[in-house]
Amino acid sequence: MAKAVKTKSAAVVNILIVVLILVVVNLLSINIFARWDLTEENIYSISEPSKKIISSLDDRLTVKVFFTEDLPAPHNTDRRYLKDLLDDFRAYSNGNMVYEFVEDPLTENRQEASSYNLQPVQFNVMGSTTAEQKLGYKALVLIYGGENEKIPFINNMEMFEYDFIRLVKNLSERGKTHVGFTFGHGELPLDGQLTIAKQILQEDFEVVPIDLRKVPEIPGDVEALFIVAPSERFSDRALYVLDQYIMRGGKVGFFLNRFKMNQNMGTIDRVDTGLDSLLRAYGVGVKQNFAIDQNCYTYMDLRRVEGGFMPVNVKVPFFININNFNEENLVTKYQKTMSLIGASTLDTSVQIPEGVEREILFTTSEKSGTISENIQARLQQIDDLDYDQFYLPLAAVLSGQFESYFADKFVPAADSADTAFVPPAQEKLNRAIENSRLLVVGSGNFFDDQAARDRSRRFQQNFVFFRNIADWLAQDDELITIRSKGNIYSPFTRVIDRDIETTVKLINIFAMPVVIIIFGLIRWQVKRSAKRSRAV
Amino acid sequence: MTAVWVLTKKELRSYFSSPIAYIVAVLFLGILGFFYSNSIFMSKSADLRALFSIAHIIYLVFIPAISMRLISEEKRSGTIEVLGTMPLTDWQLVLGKFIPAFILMLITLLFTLINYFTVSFLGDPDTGVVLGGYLGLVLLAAAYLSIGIFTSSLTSNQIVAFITSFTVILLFFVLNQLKFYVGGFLASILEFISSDYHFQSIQRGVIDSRNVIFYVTITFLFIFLTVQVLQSRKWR
Repeated sequence: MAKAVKTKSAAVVNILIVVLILVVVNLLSINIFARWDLTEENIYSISEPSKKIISSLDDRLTVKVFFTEDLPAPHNTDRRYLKDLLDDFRAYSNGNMVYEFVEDPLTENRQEASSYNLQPVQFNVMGSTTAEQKLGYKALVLIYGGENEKIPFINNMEMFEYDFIRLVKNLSERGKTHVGFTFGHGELPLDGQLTIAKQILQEDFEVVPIDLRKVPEIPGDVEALFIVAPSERFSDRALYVLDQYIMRGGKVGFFLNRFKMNQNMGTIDRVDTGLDSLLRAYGVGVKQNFAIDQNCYTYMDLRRVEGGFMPVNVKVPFFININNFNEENLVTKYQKTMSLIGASTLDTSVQIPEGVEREILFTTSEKSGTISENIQARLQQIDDLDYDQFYLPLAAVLSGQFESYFADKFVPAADSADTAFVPPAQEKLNRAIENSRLLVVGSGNFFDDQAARDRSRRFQQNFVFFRNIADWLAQDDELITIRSKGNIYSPFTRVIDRDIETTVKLINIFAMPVVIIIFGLIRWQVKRSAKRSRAV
Repeated sequence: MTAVWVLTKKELRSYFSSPIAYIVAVLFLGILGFFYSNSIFMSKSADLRALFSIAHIIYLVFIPAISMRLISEEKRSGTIEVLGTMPLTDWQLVLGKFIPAFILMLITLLFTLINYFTVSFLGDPDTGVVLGGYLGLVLLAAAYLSIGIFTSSLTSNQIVAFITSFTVILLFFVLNQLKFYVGGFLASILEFISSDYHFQSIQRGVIDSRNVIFYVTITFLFIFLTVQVLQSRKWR
């Protein structure tokens, strides 16, 4: 223990020395530090695929960071985290990566920021009386081999690693993979209801429309094909083109609605595209039903009761919240939630062909069911629906070498409408010559523009799934791993009703205070008794 | 250390003999539970991030309330002079006041684990984030208590001690925002000495030596300053 200081001046010197030591320790700690990422998925540490990609650079990667220094919280914390991450990347780059924080991008170096088409962004700052706005940069430019890519605004630090590595891959690998979207069978149009999905894909892929009626075969450079919510029947010829694409190793995502809302008649009509027969030959079917689930979207409504109105939670059972994901499959390994409207369940009683593997990606909850008949009428009597089934499959993947649906059939002739048809150059393949991947979801609208623009953001995670599908089909498994670990949202995994909510609230608010009060009263009583017995 | 332990036991006994500790803990847990419960059902997110943020704000009042009497009460009643005659150093006296208050804080925080159990029933919270958040709250409690004990040593009036420590703690909390009025290098300094800045970082579930060193520094500095204040009685 320190001896007592005898004079005021000696005490002041003592204090100054201690303060100085503490300041030096803190200054040193800024540069010499250790960090432990305790998060289960190591969200804040760079992943193995990232290390692999960054260490395989064969040219100098220059990173220029335009980050205004005094941004409001939480952006200011991001500056240090960003620097730490860039330090990690640099350490694994074998000397091929350098980075710099550009000083004063708002004033001195604004011209440099402008030369990369970077614009300052407005940040809200709480002033002394009102909210004020402040301009600032939170952007980054990557320069590699004479080309550059940029993140104009680093919005989400949890996703930074993914965004950064995606751009590094774009720069170092050059040339984008082609992804096709079929049209001509009532599918959602790329420039109609899929504009946002298209934009998302265009960051990494060349998106091309493909009319199966008019091509002799799907071009070999198309790595993956999306068939999104078709509502009309595919001709045998179109099915043949699709089948042969799969036989040559093409990967296809099927997003199928088994019902369609007829806006004019106000009815729900069955959809038969002919794709179901094809899929059943590959190992899975999509049932003609409507899945319902107690784990679903709910909204508050006012119900008239005697003497006024009472707020009630109304469930929309066909608006399903998904929480049961296959954690073994990379596509859904890190997915925690998503929402589907009007989905159909998969038929997994179909025999799986030899050489093919099937995995269910996600299912309904433990309290779910299906409606197959009188759908409209039954959906209007929500309280009478049965939820006596559980874990019904809604999405699956098939991978391996498939047998052709047309193995024992003749090559279908071209339709008369197919004016541009040219006979296929290649011979019919009865069995796949390469491994393929198929993904089937019993819903076709979960990543359309309406879902993307929903203000409640409840479909936000659907787009993480959508991007994972694209990467999985294009066999870019590294990016799925990196993207998915950025997901910090941890949804409820239990069906929450009003009783559970009230019970949890009561426990959180009152349980421990009551325990403390009881403990206090017992202690008080014991002390009082002891006092009395002493007095006696 | 025996002296510190004896003092710690005595202080803890006095905490639990008066209703103050119970009232403060009940209020802390009740308010925290109320705001946290509403927050998780609105966000439908099974995590404790909201709990940590709300607890940090409640600390601003809760910790000055616990620490205000630690030394000022001894000064008011004159027992500080009696303690001065005992074979006890000022360090032992200060630690003997700081440690029981810190233990009281830890016990109160332990009770908040009920929220972890209920949220684990609802979903699957990230244990790493929970550990990080609790470590942040423990370090923050130590730092704020050391400020509280320091301000308590400056006066014999508990209300003055409460207001002073509340103001100093609030200042550490809002430095992260004040930097907008200064800009440049000074802004970086304000940011670094802001308690909120370090807490935001640690509650993500990342234990960074820079954050830990900062809180340990603040705790040590204010305990040291408290010792200096007590020693000032003996200055010539």
